[in-house]
Amino acid sequence: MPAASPGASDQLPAQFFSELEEAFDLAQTQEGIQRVSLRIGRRPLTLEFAGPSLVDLIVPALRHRRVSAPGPGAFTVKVFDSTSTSVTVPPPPWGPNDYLAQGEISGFNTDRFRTAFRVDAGCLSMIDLERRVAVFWIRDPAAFPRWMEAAPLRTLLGWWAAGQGLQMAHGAAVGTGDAGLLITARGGSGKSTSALRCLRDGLLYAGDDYVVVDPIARRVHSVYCTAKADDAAIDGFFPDLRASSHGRIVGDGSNKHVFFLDELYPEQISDLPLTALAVPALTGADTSGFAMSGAADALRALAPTTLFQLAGTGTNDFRLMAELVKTLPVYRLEVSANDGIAATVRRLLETAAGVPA
Amino acid sequence: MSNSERWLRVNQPTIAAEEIEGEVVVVSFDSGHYYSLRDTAADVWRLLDGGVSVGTVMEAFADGVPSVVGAFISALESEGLMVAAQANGKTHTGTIAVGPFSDPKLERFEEMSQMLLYDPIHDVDDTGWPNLPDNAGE
Repeated sequence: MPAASPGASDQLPAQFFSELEEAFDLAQTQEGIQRVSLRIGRRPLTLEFAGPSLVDLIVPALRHRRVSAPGPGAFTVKVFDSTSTSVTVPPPPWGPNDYLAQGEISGFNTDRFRTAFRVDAGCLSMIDLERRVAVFWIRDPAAFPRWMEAAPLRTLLGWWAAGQGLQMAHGAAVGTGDAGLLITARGGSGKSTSALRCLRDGLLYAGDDYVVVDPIARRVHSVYCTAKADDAAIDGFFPDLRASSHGRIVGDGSNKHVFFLDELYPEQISDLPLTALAVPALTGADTSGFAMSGAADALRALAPTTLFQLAGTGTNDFRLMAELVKTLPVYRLEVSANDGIAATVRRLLETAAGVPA
Repeated sequence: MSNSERWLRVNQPTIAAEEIEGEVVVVSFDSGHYYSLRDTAADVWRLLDGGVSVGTVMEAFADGVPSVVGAFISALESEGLMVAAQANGKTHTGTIAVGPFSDPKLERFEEMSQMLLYDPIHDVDDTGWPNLPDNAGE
């Protein structure tokens, strides 16, 4: 699933994108428009909603990134649905065999356009990187999955980030004002719980699942102010959080609760300098610890789970992640349930500060 | 065609590879598999990717067994990681720098391949868009 088919024609994608924008314009004419200005990594984004139906499903996870006014040259994401607006979108100009992994649409991913459709939610994401406009359409807001509330517009924001020289990464990030740790591994490795434990022990928090990395500036940008935790993690580490759950994710096997951390820890949701990488490993030992590891270990932990989890990624993303792991100290983070992982992460970050780049 | 007149290249764009600290990490965007090549396996990859012919690579390891290297190269092809390249006419007469020989291994990781599974579209609504599964939105 390379991101784009080099040299593929933009004609059909451009025509379809134009029709999508016409449908959005009709919907916003009928239902009114709500604009939400965001800033991620100093880059401005404007979400335009046709009617109110999707605002409360998409904005909460992003509201810590809200700014009062759109920045100059903001990227625009047009958001609408058919059920509440009664506006239909044109039929897909592709066939039933053109739906690929991660919902990518064959023939509609070019250097300029990216297109993906999620059958499980009935939603379409399409971006025009040249005109700096994207469209998110969902047939029925009632089908908007809970996991998507925790990471809304993930596909589009991943494409947007790549167009800015940034990289959406599948990982958690925590740190201090001076140092930050990207914890990366595939799902089920304990990175979300570790990140939330660190937050509770006073560290800054950029995200538990998806963050945007600036490989040049070496910074991690927070995209979502959410965290997810299953019952075992809540019972074991955060029993008081249960009352703050915004509901469970069902359908993906995780059964995790979703939390909006900007309500609970508004001072600790933050972008971070990126000074170290860690691959977590759960251990039954009494204490947590860390050990130096190799860049190749980090690449194997970071790249596949990012590349295969996000639509429209490809060789460039892989190369960018390889460059990133070469420039940062990498550690194996041994996570114990029996002590404060935050203290270990603080020590790790202090150690990393002494490692020459 | 003899191996001395056969060249391979990385099967781009479905295959991407990066070398870090002597290890080659290879990703297949088609299968979702990723691979680790170390030591002699990494040497073989590097030489083939550098345009050295299959025959020359098989003979490059003074203490190696050409048939073992050849079998490894065949594995690279059968996995779709490398494919035939146009003849580049390069001949290597000097010494080729490689590390000590060890049995080349293609370490394959498959756990991400399920991420690439997708359900075929069986049903569309009257506007032409795929219908939601019954549990959508739960």
